[in-house]
Amino acid sequence: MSSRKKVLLKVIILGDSGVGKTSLMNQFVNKKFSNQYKATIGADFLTKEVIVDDRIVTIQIWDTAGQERFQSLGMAFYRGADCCVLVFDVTAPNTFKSLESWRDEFLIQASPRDPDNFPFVILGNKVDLDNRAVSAKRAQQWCQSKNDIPYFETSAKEAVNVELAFQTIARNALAQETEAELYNEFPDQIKLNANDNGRNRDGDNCAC
Amino acid sequence: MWVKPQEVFLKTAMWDTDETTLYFVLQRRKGHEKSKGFYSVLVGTLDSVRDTKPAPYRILHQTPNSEIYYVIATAVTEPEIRQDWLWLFENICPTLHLFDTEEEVTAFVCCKINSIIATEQENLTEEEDTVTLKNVEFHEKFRMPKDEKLVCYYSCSYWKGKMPRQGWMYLSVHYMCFYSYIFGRKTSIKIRWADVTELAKTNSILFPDSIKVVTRDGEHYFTLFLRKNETFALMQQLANIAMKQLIDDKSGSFNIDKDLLTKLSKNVPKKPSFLKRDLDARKQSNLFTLRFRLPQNEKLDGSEECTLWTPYNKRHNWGRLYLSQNFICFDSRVSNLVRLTIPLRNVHQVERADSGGTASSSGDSGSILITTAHHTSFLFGSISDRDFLVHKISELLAKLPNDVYREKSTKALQRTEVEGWSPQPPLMTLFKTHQTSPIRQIQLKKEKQWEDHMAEVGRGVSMYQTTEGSELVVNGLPESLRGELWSVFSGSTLQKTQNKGLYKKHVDEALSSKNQANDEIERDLHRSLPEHMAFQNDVGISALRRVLCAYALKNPTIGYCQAMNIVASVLLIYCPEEQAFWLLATICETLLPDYYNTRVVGALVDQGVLEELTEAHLPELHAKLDELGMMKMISLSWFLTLFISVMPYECAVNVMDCFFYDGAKVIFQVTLTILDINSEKLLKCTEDGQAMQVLNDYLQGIYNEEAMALSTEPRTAEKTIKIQELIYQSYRTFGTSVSSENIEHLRLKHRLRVVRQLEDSLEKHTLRALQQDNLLDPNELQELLSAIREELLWAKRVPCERLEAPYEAYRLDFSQFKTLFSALSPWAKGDFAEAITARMFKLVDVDDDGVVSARSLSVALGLSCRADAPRRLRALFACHAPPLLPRRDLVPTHFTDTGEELAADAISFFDSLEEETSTPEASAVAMHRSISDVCGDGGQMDKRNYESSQYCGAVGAMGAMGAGVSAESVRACAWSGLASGGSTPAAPPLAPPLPRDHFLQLLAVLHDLTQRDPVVYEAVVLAGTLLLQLGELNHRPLLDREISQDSLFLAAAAKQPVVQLDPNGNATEAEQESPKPSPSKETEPEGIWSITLEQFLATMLAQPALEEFFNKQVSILPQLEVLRQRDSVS
Repeated sequence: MSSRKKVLLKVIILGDSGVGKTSLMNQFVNKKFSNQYKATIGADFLTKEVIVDDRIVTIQIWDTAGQERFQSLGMAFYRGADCCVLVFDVTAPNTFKSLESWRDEFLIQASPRDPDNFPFVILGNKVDLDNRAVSAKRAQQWCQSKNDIPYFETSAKEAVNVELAFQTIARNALAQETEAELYNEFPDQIKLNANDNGRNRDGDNCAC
Repeated sequence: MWVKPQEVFLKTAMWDTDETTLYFVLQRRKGHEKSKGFYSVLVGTLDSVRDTKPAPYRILHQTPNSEIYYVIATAVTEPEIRQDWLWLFENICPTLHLFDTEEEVTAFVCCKINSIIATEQENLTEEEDTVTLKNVEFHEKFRMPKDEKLVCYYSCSYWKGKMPRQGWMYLSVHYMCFYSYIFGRKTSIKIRWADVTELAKTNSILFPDSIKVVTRDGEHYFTLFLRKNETFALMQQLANIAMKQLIDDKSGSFNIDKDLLTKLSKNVPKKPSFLKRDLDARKQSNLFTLRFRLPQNEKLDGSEECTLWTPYNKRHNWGRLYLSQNFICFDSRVSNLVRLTIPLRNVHQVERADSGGTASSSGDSGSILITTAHHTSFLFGSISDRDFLVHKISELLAKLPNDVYREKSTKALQRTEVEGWSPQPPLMTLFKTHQTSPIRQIQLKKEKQWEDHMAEVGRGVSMYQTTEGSELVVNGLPESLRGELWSVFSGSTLQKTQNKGLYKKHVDEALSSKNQANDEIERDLHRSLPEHMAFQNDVGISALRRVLCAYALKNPTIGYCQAMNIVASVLLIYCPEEQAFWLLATICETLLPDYYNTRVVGALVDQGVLEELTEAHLPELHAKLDELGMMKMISLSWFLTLFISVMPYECAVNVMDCFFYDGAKVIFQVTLTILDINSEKLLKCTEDGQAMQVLNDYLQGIYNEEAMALSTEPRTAEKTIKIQELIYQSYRTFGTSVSSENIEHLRLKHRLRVVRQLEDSLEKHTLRALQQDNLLDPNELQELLSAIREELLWAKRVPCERLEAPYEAYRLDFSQFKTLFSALSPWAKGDFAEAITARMFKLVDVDDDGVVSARSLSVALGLSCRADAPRRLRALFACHAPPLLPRRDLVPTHFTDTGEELAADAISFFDSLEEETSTPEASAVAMHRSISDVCGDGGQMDKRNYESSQYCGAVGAMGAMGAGVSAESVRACAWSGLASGGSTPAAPPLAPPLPRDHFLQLLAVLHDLTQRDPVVYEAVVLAGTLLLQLGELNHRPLLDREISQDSLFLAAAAKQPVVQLDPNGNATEAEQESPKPSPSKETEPEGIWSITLEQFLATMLAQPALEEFFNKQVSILPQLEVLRQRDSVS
């Protein structure tokens, strides 16, 4: 997989309204926090170039509206995503409970080729606040039960773990993207590759 | 004029033939017009002698091999006959070659002509008989429920394969139907409006000049309409009413269908034409309110051609005067020349003005002068029936409600200080932004322009809206006048005056309540217009909170939708608080209808409209954006926030100026212009992100030199275009081609599609959720869901807004549940059908609110025909357990006899057995012991459960049946094994044991269910006997503690005829029990009569016949088919 062509990764951020999706995206891309964001309507997006394993990749981050009535409109944005970031607010248990439905909804709408191994990353945001209501353990358990989704506790405000989380996001997305290339280049081997990659991913030693 | 086809043999005598085709001949009476010779005189004489005086023109139908001719049309003038001839030529001729024989051609033509005549006659004379007849026909042929109202019917043909079938199209409130019976073949079609996905006029070779109706199941083509446009318009209107109905929650404050239905019920006879007229009126009214930005419920009364004298240019302008309950409006014939709205409440005086010196030539006659309370006068001239108009206006004035006091000349701005809050003035007056001096100059100049303009055309609601005014609007309003002018242009000021005091009331109520909308609003208050000082301060935030919360309360179909916060905050900058509230209401309800409702339907509809406009105006770009998958995503944030979230704030407000002035068309034309300008760049994009970036950069680069930028941060985006230039260009390029009428029309079209898609996705989600229960198979669920939809439609209920789960959207009350359950479940067949249906309903009505979801119904059905035997029996057991089955419901009178009888049978059977041998008893004891061993201290648990349930039953009997803990657990017991039932714990909880009477009921039901199969029936009898005996074994004298509870229970159940209450209350039970087989030989610890679930299951399943019977998989598909047949055509 040593193609040197420019890699573009599409990452979708989902989660209930007010959990900090826009802030996380801006913290990662612009390295700053502001409490002057408007609520996101429809979708917004930013791009950033990062280096993953010596490769320069451009991450295109799509930020979405969180209110429930917009959830069904996501379809158009989900298309072609390489990674999906699910965000909840550690001070609001409801936002944690919604993760399941966000994940399901994404898988249904985006219908990725291999839903079981599609890369998700969970971010528990706002850890800087005192009134925490969802324990790390609880979140961790849930992530484990969902095919070991990577979990990070972040604070967009204080830039805690944001960089690390997005590194992982980029890496996992890249793995997904590479897999997609495989499919495209060797259409005849789809089945074989699907199995191989499935196994490889479990061991987290994908050769790329 | 079409005439009833009549045979004539003489083709040419006395007639000249003007034209012939293969099947038709156009003739003229000899001596008419062209030839004035001797012959013509003769013919004329003959005619007058015979006193026949036939019409001078006629059309004959003939077939080449026949001697018989049919007169099918006559006319007095040539144009008339030519019209008919042309119609024949265009509509009938192309289809005739499809028929195989000439007889068929003749039959078709005659049938067609007859039906046209029938239609015309009805329309002309409105014969009550025919109308009633058609109505009866409609209801009979299509098995419509009585209250389904026929709106209109038209003669037309239906393309069945390649053959057109002549027949009648019936349009009713919920259906469109077609019926034809020709050549001995019957065609019958019944389509529900709610199922229509597309309506279109088409003209293809295959189906010339037709109306196409597309449903999920297929396409239908109808042709040969007499008045195709009228028919099509009506079809479109009805389909849209159906869609609106699907969109709107029934609790909505502006539910259109409710309005329609009340109107319908008021209509005296079942005359379809009245309904039709009513719908026409509604359409007119809608256009009228739309044009003048009047409140939506305003009804047009009438209109009249006349002139309006405009003092500013001293001219009489021709146009039309419109009259409604609350307004007099005028719109010039030349579009945009002048428009005027006068609220009747402001009218002070209406007088006949006789042509004075001021009036020039055209204003000579029929003038009236209307003077308002503000001493402004409006002069209308050239009114044909002036007296009538004056009379009409005074009548309307008299009808104005009294509580709406007429506005007195000038009213002082009064700010009421109420406890807690007071409405804020425009926030820009409190939080002034610093303006540089050039900008201040520009603003002052604009103000001056407007002051001058308003000095000419007047100020406020009744200002003349002129071309000059529009030009000023396009240039951008001065900041200081924005609030006032927005309110006037949008018509929201009318709403405000009509609803005095409502805002305050809503705020007070909304702030004191706690609900989801308020929570969502709270979260977004600081995320609305954070860059403006006003919203970095509690003053602004509180005002925003009040406006949004009050609106959520006012309009529950919308509640709160993100983006409203952004729009509302801008409104608050320029308008006083209450005015901002009404502007928001106008945006949500009139300008951007359905945009913010729970499914954002309006925004989706407009995405479709935009897509179509783009395709029409920028085809190449449309193809590109479609390829990128962008078409569906651009408009969302642009439209929902009126560009505020995508353009710099000081530019977006200029778009809003035009938006309030010209309506939603402005957003479309601006959007198209932006796409147009960027099309070159966009066409080069290879993926959606790139295209988004192009547009984002462009939008962020728009600038406004005439206003201060709000953002204090230095601009990073490169300047692209002046906002004034953009708006001007949008008017120049798309101003005329994108009209409000056009958009309304496209909205109608796309609404069908969007609502259907939403319905489909709701259905898909629901099916997916229901499948997780693993009871019914997907096929059955699909059919079941359409049955549910059908049922809900009849009940005029619509799926309501999405709640926790998709299936919650379909909510059935008991009668609907009953209809479906009793039609589908094998359990609802015998004497106990009603009882078992009611009990199952209770079992699945998890929140005890008398309404169940689609899932509950599917679970109830699944449990009764698909679950394995233990689960099925568990469900039966559970729905007979207290408190689900309270004692008062135990022996409903109508099946008391049977129940008692069966129970008595069982008991006597048991007695006889007991006499014969002691084995059953022994085995029962053994079984009881073994179960006790297995359950450990379960007995104890059961007892406590039972006590509490008894208590619940008692409470329930007293009329306060609550969802006791036991009710939950009883349900959970039956529901266990299903997909996340919400509160289902890991291990299935135990149902409380059944008391004797409850058990007897259960037994009676089991007898009833199995009576058709002797083997199974016997097994039930046997098992029942064992269980009764087991129950006796559990029996023991009551403890003191229990007695006291029992007495409470009995007191509550006192009204039951079965229970005879004696003065002490406690002896009764004992008395009742006494005649039964004595439990004296029992040595077990004392207990009360009861059967536990384990005992029940173990005993029942010990009978192979029963196990087999309750394991039998029953498909509900045949029943669903029967159910569907019930509604559809035979």
